[in-house]
Amino acid sequence: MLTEEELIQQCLENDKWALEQLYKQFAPKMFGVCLRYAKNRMEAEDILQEGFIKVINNLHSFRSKGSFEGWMRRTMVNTAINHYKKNLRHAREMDIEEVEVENNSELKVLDKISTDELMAMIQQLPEGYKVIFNLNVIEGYTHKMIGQMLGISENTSKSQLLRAKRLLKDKIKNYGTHGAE
Amino acid sequence: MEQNSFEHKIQKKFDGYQPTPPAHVWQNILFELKQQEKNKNIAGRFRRRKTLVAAIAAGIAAAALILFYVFNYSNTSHHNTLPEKSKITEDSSNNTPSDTRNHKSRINKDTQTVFSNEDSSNNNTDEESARQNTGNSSRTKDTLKKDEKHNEQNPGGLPMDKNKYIREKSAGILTMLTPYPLRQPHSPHNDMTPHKRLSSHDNNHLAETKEQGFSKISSHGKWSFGLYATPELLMTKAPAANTHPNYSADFAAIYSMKNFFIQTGMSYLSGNNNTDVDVDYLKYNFLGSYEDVYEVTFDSTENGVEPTYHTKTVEVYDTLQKQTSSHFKNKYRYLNLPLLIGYGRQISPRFSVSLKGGPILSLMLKDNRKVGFNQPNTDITNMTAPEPRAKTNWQALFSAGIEYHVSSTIRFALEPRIKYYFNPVYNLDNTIKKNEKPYSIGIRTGVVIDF
Repeated sequence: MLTEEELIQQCLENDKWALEQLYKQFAPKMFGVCLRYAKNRMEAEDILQEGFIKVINNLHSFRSKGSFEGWMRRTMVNTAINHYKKNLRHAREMDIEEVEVENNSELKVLDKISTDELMAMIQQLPEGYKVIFNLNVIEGYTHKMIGQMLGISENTSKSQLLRAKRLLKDKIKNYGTHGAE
Repeated sequence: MEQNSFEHKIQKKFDGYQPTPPAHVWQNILFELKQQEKNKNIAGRFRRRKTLVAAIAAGIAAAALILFYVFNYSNTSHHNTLPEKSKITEDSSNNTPSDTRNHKSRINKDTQTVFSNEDSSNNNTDEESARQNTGNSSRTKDTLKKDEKHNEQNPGGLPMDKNKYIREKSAGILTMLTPYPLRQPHSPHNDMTPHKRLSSHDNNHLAETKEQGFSKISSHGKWSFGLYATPELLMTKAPAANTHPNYSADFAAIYSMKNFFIQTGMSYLSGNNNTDVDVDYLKYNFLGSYEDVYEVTFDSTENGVEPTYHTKTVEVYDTLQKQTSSHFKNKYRYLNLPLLIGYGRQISPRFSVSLKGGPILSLMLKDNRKVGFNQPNTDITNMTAPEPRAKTNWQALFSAGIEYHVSSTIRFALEPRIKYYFNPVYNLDNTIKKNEKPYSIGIRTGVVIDF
């Protein structure tokens, strides 16, 4: 079994077998990341493909100091953000109604729903909200960093995150209600 | 707290979430990578082609520039002589005994094979000079008048008394400048009329006959084209081998003027070397696979707590250390662009010899090095690969040749040659590079056709 370092080395030598192994090893995790940023599965596939080619082309710039998976994940996230920015002008802006959180009923529902179902709800979020939600809640980026990445102010990032959470909670609650029926 | 709990739950939901992407994604990635590689090759080829075209264009431009100047110079000097020849034709026909002051001038000019007439001011100076040389002006005039009369009686030949006069009075200076007709007074050309003698064709013919013997090399310049084959041995301190055989097929365009010539063209050179490639590698033999449980989560259901096992497939290989050694012949292809200057001389009606030298720009067209190891499921740990060769190389060529004239237009050539390489042939490390002074020796044979 090759170590991660050896595998990367072989990939750098353009060994097709090693590239396939790298893909097999990391594609499922990265596909999970892509799905969260995409509108649907097809878009996620596009992001994965684009991101993986970026990873292969920039493999030489990877410094073995940090985690390779982390580096690859960042590349995927950046690809997804670029994808979002590219499609931004075509994105349909949605009017978001303010959803007041009255209780924490969504937490109970959240335990019951599967990851795929949760993923579907996140995917349904408006583009901007979805990206900020993913970057902050899942990836752990600060609002300052998100602001820099997306070219928006820190406050915009904060307010959009708040709205994203409210919307997602609403969806989860609705799911709970729908499921209860 | 509530928010944190919500976020924490979301994060936890996605921990270890690894949906399998469809198979066509990897196929698309492979296709994209292949396309990129193809584009890269095309771009590389285009860059190489651009370099090649630029080098060829520069070579042709340089050769054309040199030839233009040479040809232009040749034409200029040719035109300068023609009017003067016309003048002398007129002068000769109207030669009178009273025109003695021009006569001496003409004698001096004759000795320089220029045949020019001069204005009176110059002639006065020449006459004074002649007087100083003779030391007796009246005798000079008498002698010259006598010579003129003699010339009128024998207009086709050169004045014998004049020769005598020159020999007697100005031997030290004028004999050195005496032209061919003076040295060979009984030449058939002496029987010509002044018009004939001084016509440009005959004049050129005389000059060529005198200076070139049987050489066909014209003072106007002429073009020749040659096809050659050259086997040569390259001597280098490269680690793979000390000598490398090279073979080249050459096309040469030669522009000759008098005894000098400029040669350019192009040559396709094929070289090779032999290398031993030793590879140490690890061979992975697939033994099987197992499902590795990397996480277990528990979900509360109506039936109680149910565990969920998150697994991933782990393939197991048996690693074997192996070694292989192979012998390979590597091939290299070059385009050589020479720009040579030389000197040639005919030594007999059938043979001529030449010396030439100049720079050669060598551009690598193809590097067909064989690494020779491409096995799946292996990891190379050590390999002795053949050293890469330099893509471009400047060389200086020196050559001595002999040519056999089969006919008036066809010659066979045999040229031993030596080439000194300004750059190392191989991209070696600096310590070897310092001592690396490659050179090659070869023999070029071919046929040259004159136009």
